[in-house]
Amino acid sequence: MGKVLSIRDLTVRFYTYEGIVHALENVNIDIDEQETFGLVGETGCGKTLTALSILRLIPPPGRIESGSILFRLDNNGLTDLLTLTEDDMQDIRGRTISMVFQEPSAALNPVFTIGDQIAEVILLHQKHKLAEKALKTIEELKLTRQGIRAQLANPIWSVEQLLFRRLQNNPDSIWPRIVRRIPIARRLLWRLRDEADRMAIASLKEVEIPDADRVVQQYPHQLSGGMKQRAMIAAALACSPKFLIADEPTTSLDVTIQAQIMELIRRLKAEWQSSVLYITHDLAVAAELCDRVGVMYAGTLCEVASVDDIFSNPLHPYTRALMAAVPRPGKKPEGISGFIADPINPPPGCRFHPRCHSSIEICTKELPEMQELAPGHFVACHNCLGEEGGSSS
Amino acid sequence: MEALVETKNLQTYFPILKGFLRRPVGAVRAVDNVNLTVTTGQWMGLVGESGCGKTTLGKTILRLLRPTSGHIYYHTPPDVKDEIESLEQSTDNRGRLRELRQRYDIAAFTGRQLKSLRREMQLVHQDPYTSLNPRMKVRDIVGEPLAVHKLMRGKEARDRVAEILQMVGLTERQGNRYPHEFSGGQRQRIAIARALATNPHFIVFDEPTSALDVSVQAQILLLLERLKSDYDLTYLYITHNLTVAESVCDRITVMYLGKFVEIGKPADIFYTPRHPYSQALVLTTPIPDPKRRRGRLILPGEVPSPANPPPGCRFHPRCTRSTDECRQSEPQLTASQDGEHWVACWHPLN
Amino acid sequence: MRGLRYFFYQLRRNPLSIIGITIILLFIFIAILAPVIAPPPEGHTRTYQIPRSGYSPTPTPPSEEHPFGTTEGQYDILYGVIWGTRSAFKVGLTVIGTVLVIGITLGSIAGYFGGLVDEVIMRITDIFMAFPMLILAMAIAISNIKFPLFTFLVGPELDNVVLALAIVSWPAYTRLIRGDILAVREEDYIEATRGIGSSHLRIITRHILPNSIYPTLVMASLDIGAVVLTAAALSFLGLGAPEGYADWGQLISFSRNWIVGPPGNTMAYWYTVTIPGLFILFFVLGWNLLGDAFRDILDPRLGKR
Repeated sequence: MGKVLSIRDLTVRFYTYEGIVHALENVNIDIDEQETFGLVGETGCGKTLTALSILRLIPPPGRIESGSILFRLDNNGLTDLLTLTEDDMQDIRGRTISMVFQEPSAALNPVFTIGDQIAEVILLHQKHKLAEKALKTIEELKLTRQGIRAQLANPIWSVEQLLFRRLQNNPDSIWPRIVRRIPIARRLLWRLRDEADRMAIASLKEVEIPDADRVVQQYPHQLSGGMKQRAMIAAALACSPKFLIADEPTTSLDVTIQAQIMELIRRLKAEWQSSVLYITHDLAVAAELCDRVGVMYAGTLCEVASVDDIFSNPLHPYTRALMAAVPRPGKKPEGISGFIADPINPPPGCRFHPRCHSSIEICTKELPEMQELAPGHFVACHNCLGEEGGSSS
Repeated sequence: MEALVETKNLQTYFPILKGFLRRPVGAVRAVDNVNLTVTTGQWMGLVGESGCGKTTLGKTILRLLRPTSGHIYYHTPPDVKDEIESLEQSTDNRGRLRELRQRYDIAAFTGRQLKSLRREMQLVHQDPYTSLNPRMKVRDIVGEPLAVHKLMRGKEARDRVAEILQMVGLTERQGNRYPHEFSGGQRQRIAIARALATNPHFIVFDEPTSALDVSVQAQILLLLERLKSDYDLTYLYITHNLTVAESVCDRITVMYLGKFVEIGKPADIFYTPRHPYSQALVLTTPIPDPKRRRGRLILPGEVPSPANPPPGCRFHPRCTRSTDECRQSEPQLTASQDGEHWVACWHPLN
Repeated sequence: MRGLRYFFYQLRRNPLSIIGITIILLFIFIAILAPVIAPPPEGHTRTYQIPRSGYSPTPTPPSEEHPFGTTEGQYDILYGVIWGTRSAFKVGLTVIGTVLVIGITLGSIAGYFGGLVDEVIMRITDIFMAFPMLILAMAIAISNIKFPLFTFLVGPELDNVVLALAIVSWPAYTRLIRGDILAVREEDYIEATRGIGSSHLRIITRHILPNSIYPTLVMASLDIGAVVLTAAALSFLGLGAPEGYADWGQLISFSRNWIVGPPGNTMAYWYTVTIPGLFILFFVLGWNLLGDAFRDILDPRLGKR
């Protein structure tokens, strides 16, 4: 399987009143097709920012300073997303790359129904499919209906057919767009919304929301946290994206609901054969779901390996400290001394060195580079104790 | 060991008001007839998911919420408790009952009594980002209890504040700053410092680390351990994370939809849970070990609304072992052989 | 003090706010230096009464003796607008000050305690807000009710106007504060301080008010301009300051008959309307810009964690 996403040397900075925030520094991530990649780290390490960078949704005053994000848009190899126009990106968001956010109550608009919000995604990206379905319905109507009402309606149907055919061939075609702006004539396009609603109900059923017909008309505040998160996942997967970014989707949920959502993501990923970038601060969740795991600290990537490797043989000191801090049955958690690196004035060299037990002189001077210390196991450390003696230069 | 805090038949209901005249049409039964016992020096863990009433229970014990009925005892001699119980049953001697309750039963305290209670029991909130007044300096926040209870003034108070800040790992100079200048973990330390200002004996922690990172959580837990042993404190530790509770608590109570379903030693509950819900919690909590993934129990359905709990055993709609008995009558907490492990289930496991 | 630096940084980013501050500072200067810029003539005892140099009903254009001209009845316009600045500040600050005190007290009680007290106070504000503002102000102004405190603060000529405006403005502030308090009341740190054993008074004054009062202060600074404008309107209608008093609205009321001059020279008496009018305009503009600036500065600050 080839690579679907390749982030190379991504550096992001925020220009604020208090100073320049070095949010991401030379981040390199490769994700294969149909792989679940877990990005693990604590608050402020930059994992959410990495996800936002892929979708180019970084809020000002943030800027992508350098680097490239190569994505397999079609079968002709990788495109650098940073070179695309905003229009192109809008096309990609929601259709090819989709994101599920952490707080479903914040990500869903409280004044629109669930159905509205899922239909919005579908209407935006799948006009041609909707037009196709509408055309089929009209053809059927023309064949089956008879009588005076049908005869009167016939010319209207013909006009609708004209519009929908144009839409089917070219979702951006101009006549439907004009018609949409004219107050009464835009009613001709009602079938699109109707089909979109139907597809919304179907997608809600996909995510196992009980009573989907009723839920589609409800507002977000009427649903529980788990249901809202499912609705968000439904909206994200409505257009069968090739790549799903899940930003801590279960952090705000109870543990039993979390298990349900994780199972759901697992199943849908297998069904749609998509790749998933799963962001979490919970190592245990990453162990459950992911094929490969990357650990981030203070804007830099520390270690990347397969999930088995990283748990059985963590090489980077931060990864080891993180593992020791997780409470396990029968074991008391151990804290990491010191505080998280200040992003405005990060420590020189390796950002973890003030808190690291194995830091040596060079750690205070140079940012370590990622090296492959074992097959598929990358570590960015000057002095990690690893299998092949590490790189203690 | 003597019980420091005990609740008897404690209920906290929130009325649901509907209609033009705001008439009560029902109640959210957040805490429904609960008997909690925390012995002196114990680290009691109260585990459950959101909506089960654990936070409500914690706040009711501290009288931040008004109990609808029931008794809350703090440091009350057992014979007084017994007397109150027996008086409750009979209809005469109401005067004596009232007198006793006003002296010993926290649920009946008012005004000044409540204020003096606040010196003994404190709460540490869940979210360190909202539990500190953003416009007050840290030293004022930590020193406020001293001012409110008129315990110390001037230099003596300042020294005490510096002392407490040091106890939680902060410096006196940091007291001059505002909360927003600190990280989540540090803010939680400030909240803990505030709770310790009046030398309380009982502290309720409402999910103190759920808003914090894993490494910070570990630091806070170690801090709590040290403070507990240094100052002979008793903790009621509310959390939804069974693994955290298992690693630090002396005893765990599992709560579901306003009722206790299992009480016991952490290792017992974790390795040999007797209630199906506890078992579900244990099996669905992810463990950082990729080899132990398959075959986990996925609990179907959602937590029912506490305004409309299912009849009989409240867990029966989601339980794979439920029978007619479970649907009809509510099981009571019964003890195991050694009296240490309690479970409320008609068909307990193990 | 770090907050102050941030304040100036935001100010720099918002040029209109600098203009606002400049205008207000200018007016403050004029008000303080009034005796220097427009000294009362010899023997003139009642300082706020504009000196007249004659009794002719026709306004005279600007000249050396009267740099801004005179209005009907030969009142010196320059003297009027300069000392009118003091009147404007007096009226504005007294009204807003009073209304803030009433609003904060009643609003806190209503918002914090809720229940019956809240309902009663809100219904009282409803009653006051049911009247159209200007009509109510006019009614009070005509009735000539006096309130001793105001007479002390602003003098017997303006106290009536101040009373009218205070009565008309207080309900809005009460509601505003009450709304903000309702929001802050549910915050965790309020529960935490209750858990410490704080009294209600302590909670309101030390915890709730400092966190909820900023939107109200913004509205107050915007309102100073509005109050002065309404006071001018009352004076223009003849209900405010007495004749000849140094007050901008008063000056404009003099110009009522002279807005349009004789045919052939319609702008003959422009100075009677325009000069006091410009003073009012810039005063209100300055406070508006200042209020906007406060809001822009405080709003992101409030959201800043």
